[in-house]
Amino acid sequence: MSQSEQIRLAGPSAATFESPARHRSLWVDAFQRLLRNKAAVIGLGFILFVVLVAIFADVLAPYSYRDQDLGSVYQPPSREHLLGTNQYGKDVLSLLIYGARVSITVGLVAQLIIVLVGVPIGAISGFLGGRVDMIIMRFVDIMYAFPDLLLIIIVMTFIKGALPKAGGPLAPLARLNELTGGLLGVFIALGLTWWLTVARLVRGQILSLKERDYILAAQAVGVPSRRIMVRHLIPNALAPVIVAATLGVPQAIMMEAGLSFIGMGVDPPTPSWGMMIQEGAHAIRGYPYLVLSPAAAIALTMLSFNFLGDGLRDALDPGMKDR
Amino acid sequence: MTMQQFILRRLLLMIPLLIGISLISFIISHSLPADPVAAFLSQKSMEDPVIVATFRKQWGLDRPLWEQYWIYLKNLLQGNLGVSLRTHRPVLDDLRQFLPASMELAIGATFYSIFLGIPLGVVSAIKKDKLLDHIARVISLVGVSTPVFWLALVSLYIFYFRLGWLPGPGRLDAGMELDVQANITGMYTIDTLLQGKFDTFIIAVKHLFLPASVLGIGTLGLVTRITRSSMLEVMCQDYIRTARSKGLRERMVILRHALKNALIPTVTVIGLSFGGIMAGTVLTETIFTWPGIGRYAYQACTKLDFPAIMGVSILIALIFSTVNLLVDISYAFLDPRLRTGGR
Repeated sequence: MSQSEQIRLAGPSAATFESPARHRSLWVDAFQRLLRNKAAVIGLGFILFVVLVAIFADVLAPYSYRDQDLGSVYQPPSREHLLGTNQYGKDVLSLLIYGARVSITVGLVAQLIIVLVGVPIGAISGFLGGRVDMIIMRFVDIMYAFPDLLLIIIVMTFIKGALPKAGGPLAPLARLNELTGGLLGVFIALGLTWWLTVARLVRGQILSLKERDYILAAQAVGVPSRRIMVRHLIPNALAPVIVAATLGVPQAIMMEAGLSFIGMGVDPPTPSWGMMIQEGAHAIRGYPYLVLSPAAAIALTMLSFNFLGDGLRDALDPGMKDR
Repeated sequence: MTMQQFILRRLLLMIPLLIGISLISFIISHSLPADPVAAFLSQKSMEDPVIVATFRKQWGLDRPLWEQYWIYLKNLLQGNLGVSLRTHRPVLDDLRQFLPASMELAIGATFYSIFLGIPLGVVSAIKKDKLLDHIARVISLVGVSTPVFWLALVSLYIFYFRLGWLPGPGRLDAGMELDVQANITGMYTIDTLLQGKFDTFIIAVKHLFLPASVLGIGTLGLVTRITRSSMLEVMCQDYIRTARSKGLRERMVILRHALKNALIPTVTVIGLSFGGIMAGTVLTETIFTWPGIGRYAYQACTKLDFPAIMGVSILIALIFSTVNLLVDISYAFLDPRLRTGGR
């Protein structure tokens, strides 16, 4: 990283180095390194494609996901229905296109919530140290041993069962959950359980960064501590968080698919890839292709995020390459 | 610190962890505004205040929260996990009945990922960027990126419905459960062996094969990947060059000098993913109608059966910490330097 440059420039010229234009070079560098990684670029390309499909689903999908056509159930792939129809006569391709919305939203928003919860908690724990750190970390340890899937199912059970009937302060939440087709529940469930890893990661980063030579150097030349935090600690602690968040997206997508598969995810008729597999499972003996396309969509999206995450890790921390 | 002291200290540390887990699961399950009474009484009984009050009193739901927790904790120390609201049986009995099936599945999955993943990782490190490496990479990518429930469905469809090579869902063929009634461990593969019923043993293994491999495929991918990368790192070390230069056979260098040192990260990953495997049992057991703890936990959660949820949480946390303790102990066997360190 820019560590050696920094030492060279320490002293009177340190102020010039601190100019924003120079500082951005870490990210520009990283981006250029990322573009040289073929797998990561392909992954990024596919993710952009899925995001575009999700945004323009209304334009792209040949049919609405609400259209049932009981006269043409279980149609094999044809000109009218490129991927065939399911047991309600719904067009599988259209369901797949609308399903991208759920997966991408869950993946990105859940990760955003996780980062927004985990980074401050981890940073506070690392910065303050002492008793605060101990209490937070013991809590994290205990939550870590708690089976997360159980917690998620309990939260989902509550959101599906009690929230719609709840009044008072919970009523707006219930309304929001309804508007998002049950997605809010998935966000809350994942956000409540998965911030632990990010918090631990950030805390560890802050702890080790505090001891680095270049922080010491910056302190020695009189850079104010707030500037050290904003300019050095946080950007450097952020790189692993970006990698972890990118690699967390596919996990969230997989979790949503799994939850929808057991009927604990989004509410029908909102189409989700996991729900498509579950619906296809009933007819797998006669129409095995019904479970193929959603699984392929999940697998390709997962792979893309994994490639991108690995690429980001190599790009942001070249020292870690080939590990 | 000696090994015994280390193990003793870790075992003692489990006590506050378990108290913490029980407290958190208690708070979570009791702070939800959902009412278990509504889940268990019919609409008609709900309208009768006497029935509702009796129900609350019977299950201790009418007392203040801290008192409920205190009673729970006291019972817990005596090995009493309470009574399930759903099955009306002691939670401990339920766990005893369902745990062995899940353990059999989880241990099977772990063995499968170890015995396939480590060789795959070693081979792909030695043959870096050759065909075998690429094949191993594809396998591990598929393992990490395909939904477990989909793999379960499709493998059941192919190997059972289509090819008929493996038996369908369940732990044994239909009507055979009576055959292994004398429960010893509750794990059919072990029980049948102990009783010398080899025919039944083979059938039990056949039934176990598909769900265990599906459950373990994610771990398989991880193990392969980690073994490969840590083998690559170890192979560049000086002592490997020394071993080679003194004329040791390559086989010996790889197995004795490189692999043993490369195994520590692999063991860590296996230990950590055991938790993931236990969580994966929820989906796998549902598809393979495997009567285990995963299905029990799922049903308990959807019914807000608090005593059962807390029992399962404590049990899984206990298993998870025990596995991590075993992992830490195994470090000492893999790396003698860690035996005397001040851990």
